[in-house]
Amino acid sequence: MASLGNYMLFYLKYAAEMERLYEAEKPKVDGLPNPDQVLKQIKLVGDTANREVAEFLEFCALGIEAHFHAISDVKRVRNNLEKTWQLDFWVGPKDATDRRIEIGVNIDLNLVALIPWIWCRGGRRAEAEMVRIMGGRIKHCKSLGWESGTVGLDEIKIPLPARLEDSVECDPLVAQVRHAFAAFTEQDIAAINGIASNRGEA
Amino acid sequence: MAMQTQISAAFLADLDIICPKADVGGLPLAFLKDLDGAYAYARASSMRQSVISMADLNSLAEDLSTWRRDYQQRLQKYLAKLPSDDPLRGQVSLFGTMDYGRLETAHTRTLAWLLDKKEHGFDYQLLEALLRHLLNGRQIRLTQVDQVVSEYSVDRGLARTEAGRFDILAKGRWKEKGKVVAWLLVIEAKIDAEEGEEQLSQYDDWLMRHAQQTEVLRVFLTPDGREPRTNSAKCKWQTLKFVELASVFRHVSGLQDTPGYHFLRYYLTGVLREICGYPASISPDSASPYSLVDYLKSVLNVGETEEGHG
Repeated sequence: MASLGNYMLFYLKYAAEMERLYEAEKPKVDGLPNPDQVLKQIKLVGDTANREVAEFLEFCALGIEAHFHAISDVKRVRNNLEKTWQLDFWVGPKDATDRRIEIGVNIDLNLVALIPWIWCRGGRRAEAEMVRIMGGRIKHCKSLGWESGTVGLDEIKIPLPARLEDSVECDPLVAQVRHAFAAFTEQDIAAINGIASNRGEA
Repeated sequence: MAMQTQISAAFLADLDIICPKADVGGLPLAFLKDLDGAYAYARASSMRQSVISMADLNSLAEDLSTWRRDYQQRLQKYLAKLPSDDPLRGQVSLFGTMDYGRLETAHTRTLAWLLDKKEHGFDYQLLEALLRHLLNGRQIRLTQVDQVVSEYSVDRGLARTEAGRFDILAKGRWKEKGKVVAWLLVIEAKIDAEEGEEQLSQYDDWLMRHAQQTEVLRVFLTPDGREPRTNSAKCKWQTLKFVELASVFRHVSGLQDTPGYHFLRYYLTGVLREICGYPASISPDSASPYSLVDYLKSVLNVGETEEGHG
């Protein structure tokens, strides 16, 4: 995959409009020029962008799965990437009977960024514990406003070109996503799994 | 695990959607691999087809940019009319200070307290305003409030085991066209969590047993106004967005001199910030002016004629 899809980039550039016209059950077209024509085009663009996003996330998945396969027991969560824009895996220590840690990558429309993340049960206390275990080996992105127990590992900005015709290289973004997870070791997974096992809601 | 690594997860996910009862593990691996290959080819072919030309995409971008500029102008106009102590301009979020801005129980307990007659000094004004909003313009007058509680335990009937808890329950009487009517309001709020299994249908069962001869208002309160999934087919739950709730409370006048006025302001600032996602500092050239304009139109009572376009 050489570059990000044009329709995906369009979606990110006009995220507020896509939310109002494509994602909403009842599009609000008040004040919109040529609403009928625009809505038809928006549907085509949105559907194609979703497919491009799924393709891109599949590309990201390869490296993540390979890394965690080497250090842990990992299982891909079967979800529809075109709908969720979220890559998702359950992870546990190799010798564990179940997987209690969730890792993944989201595309955040507000931040126009890729957010690699890790989650384990235990609320705010678990977040603090994960940050402590990983020390300075991960970036800790605060204020994502996500479910408690989630630590954002990076905020990888997706560059939006000024002209829609211009392309954005895919490989550097995928490399940054992989890099965000690269610091995790077998020992880290065991330690984080321990938080989930000895949980107390924060 | 061996199969998982050889067959793409996207293919397996789509197969699961198209054929949810397929025993994928029982199918021959060679067959699955061929099907996966055909799927990948079909996907790649569909991606190569240009759905609209680059010229049309640029034209669409121009239309959307024009539309955004129009809303940014409206936003600037409305912000100029907004009072300085409006919650949208607030810097302090009540629950944000504790990192509990999206904690459901914090919101529902506070909401119950705000709706009730308490030391805030609002009397039942917020409750009455909410009921009128839910009744969509019906002219009711609140005559009696018997109870406003949060986390009201709901049993399963004969078994007497707990089926769950209403986030908020309120009941009393109102007068409409000279007639006294018993009412009961239940609110189920969801911020990040999903509904429990059969959650609302169990509440519906309880309401059918306990609220006969009563006008029941079932409210499903969420950030995006989504429909509930677990209610029984016979019972309609009214959807309510948090931003609508904020707008309803914001419309209640004459609270400035009450002890709870600033508490309410900080609460609403938190709702707008942490649940609705509005920024702490609103700029007229926001890239996302639409929902802000919708909210401001509602709180400033802007009519279509007054509004104009462009």
